[in-house]
Amino acid sequence: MRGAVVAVVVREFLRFARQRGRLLSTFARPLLWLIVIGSGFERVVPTEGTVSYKQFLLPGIYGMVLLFSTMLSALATVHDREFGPIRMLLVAPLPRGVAVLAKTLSSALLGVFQAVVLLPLIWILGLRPSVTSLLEFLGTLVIAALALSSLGMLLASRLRSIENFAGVMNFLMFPMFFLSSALYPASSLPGFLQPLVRADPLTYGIDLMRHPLLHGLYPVNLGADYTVRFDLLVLAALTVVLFALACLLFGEEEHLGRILLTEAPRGGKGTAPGPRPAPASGRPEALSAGATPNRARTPAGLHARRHG
Amino acid sequence: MAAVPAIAALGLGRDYGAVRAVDAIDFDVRPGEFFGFLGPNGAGKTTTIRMLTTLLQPTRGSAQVAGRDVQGDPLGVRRQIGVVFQETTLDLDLTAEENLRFCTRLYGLSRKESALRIDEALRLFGLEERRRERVRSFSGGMRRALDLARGILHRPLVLFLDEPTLGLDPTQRRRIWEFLRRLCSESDTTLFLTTHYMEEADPCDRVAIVDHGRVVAAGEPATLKRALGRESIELTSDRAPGLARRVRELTGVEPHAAAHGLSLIVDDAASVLPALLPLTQDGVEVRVSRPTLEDVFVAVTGRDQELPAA
Repeated sequence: MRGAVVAVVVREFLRFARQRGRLLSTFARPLLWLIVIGSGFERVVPTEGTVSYKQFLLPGIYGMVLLFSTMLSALATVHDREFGPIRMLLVAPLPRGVAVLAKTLSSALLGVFQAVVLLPLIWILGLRPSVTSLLEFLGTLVIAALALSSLGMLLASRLRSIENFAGVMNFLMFPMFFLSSALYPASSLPGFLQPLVRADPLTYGIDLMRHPLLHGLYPVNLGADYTVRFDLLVLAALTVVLFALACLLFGEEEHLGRILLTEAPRGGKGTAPGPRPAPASGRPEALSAGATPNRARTPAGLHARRHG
Repeated sequence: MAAVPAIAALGLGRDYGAVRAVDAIDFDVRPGEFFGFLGPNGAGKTTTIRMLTTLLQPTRGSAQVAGRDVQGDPLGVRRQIGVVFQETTLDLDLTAEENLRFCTRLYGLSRKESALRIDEALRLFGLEERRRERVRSFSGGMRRALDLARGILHRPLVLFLDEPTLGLDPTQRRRIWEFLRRLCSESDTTLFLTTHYMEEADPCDRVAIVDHGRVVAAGEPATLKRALGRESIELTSDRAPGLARRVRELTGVEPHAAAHGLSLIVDDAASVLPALLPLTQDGVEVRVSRPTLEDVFVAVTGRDQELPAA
């Protein structure tokens, strides 16, 4: 089991290091946000106390790094399950949950690693955390990353194909980012959005990061919204629940959904006809065997339909 | 020990909703055997492999792999098997060596053992010189070879291969078959292979031909072919007159006129050939044509002939 986790972690990191585009965008995106949005908002948002807007924004940027990294890992998992080493994991002598655990941990670690590379931003923005605060901050990164990667795995267990990427981006990643307290204190959003703000795991992740990073400063209107204890509780609970669900559904996939993933004919009621003409009945494997299965193209968005 | 078959399937079947992918499959594979599972696309080969490798629950029937039940003890089954999937599962951005190491880590091999087996596998598949190159630069044949290497790193008792030669050119296909034959003769590994290229399956010890989710013929390739029909010997010569009489004298078989000479229909060409040997010294060309597995397949699935029972 440890071997499996190590195998997957090493593999994810090697791949990350070799994909230039991903490497570049990982570091360019947060910098762009920090510089452009940070500078722009700094003029608009009135700041009182001792925290500048950019300093307030920084934990949000780390949250963004974690969010994008874990969601990209999740989408890669969707592809991997069919064409990649995840299949090797599924036929290796390991309990079902180990595959999910290995992916969740490696995805979280990869996210934390990217955030750690961007740590110098803390000092560049003039923050001077103590060693204790810094260690606490690293801890918050790990906790937030675990919650997000569990969410990603749950998503991966439900997504049928990587084609839904745009949907995930538009209907999940961006709303999660904007509804979290990344850009403005959660309390400053209007009441009707509050339920969404509170349902967003990123809210608590970023809030948690604010505590150690802005520690010792006296933010008046720009600070954490919740207590450390509350953030921790929510994130831990989320991680456990999301991970358990992902294990459950990944397992289901294996036995029921897997065929649907690799394209069994859909004789069921209410299913839209695939892009390819239906095969002669009685030869269902023509679909599952081919390298170009007739993946149903769902409109952008998550594939919410339950299999089976 | 020898009594336990490497794979045993009994009435194994699987439905996808209302569609029967595999109706009811029965077969046994002996330990150490090179077993071919043949059939056209859509016959149920991949679905069967998925059930045998615990990726898919059977709808009916049962199957044991290495004496363990695929439903009752899936972990036990997975402990004994290696799988080479139809689609490659390699990481293109990783080197050959890194891809193999992923697997040795997965199976918890020690660092030393891992290095040893990776060297051995790379040597077996002729990839030593490319070990530090990324798989993206590999040809289709090399990728497949690496897939195979990965399938046997943990020394499985039973190795499943789903269409291992799909998409390869003839030379590459021949190489893959050579690897497999060598693997089977040099180790105790049981090989279970699916293919729809029937003519390739001759090196298999035994084959089962499936169609519409049922085994329609099974046995040794030679037996199946013999059961199908007789062999023909073609004699080509420019000095045809007198040849027919000589052939009759030498073999006692009545020849028929053919395109460029004569043709003899016999039960067993090997027993007749020695008698025809003198003719070759007169410049007569002798060729034997035997039914291929492809012919067997056509015969049992074509439905326009009397089918030899499975």
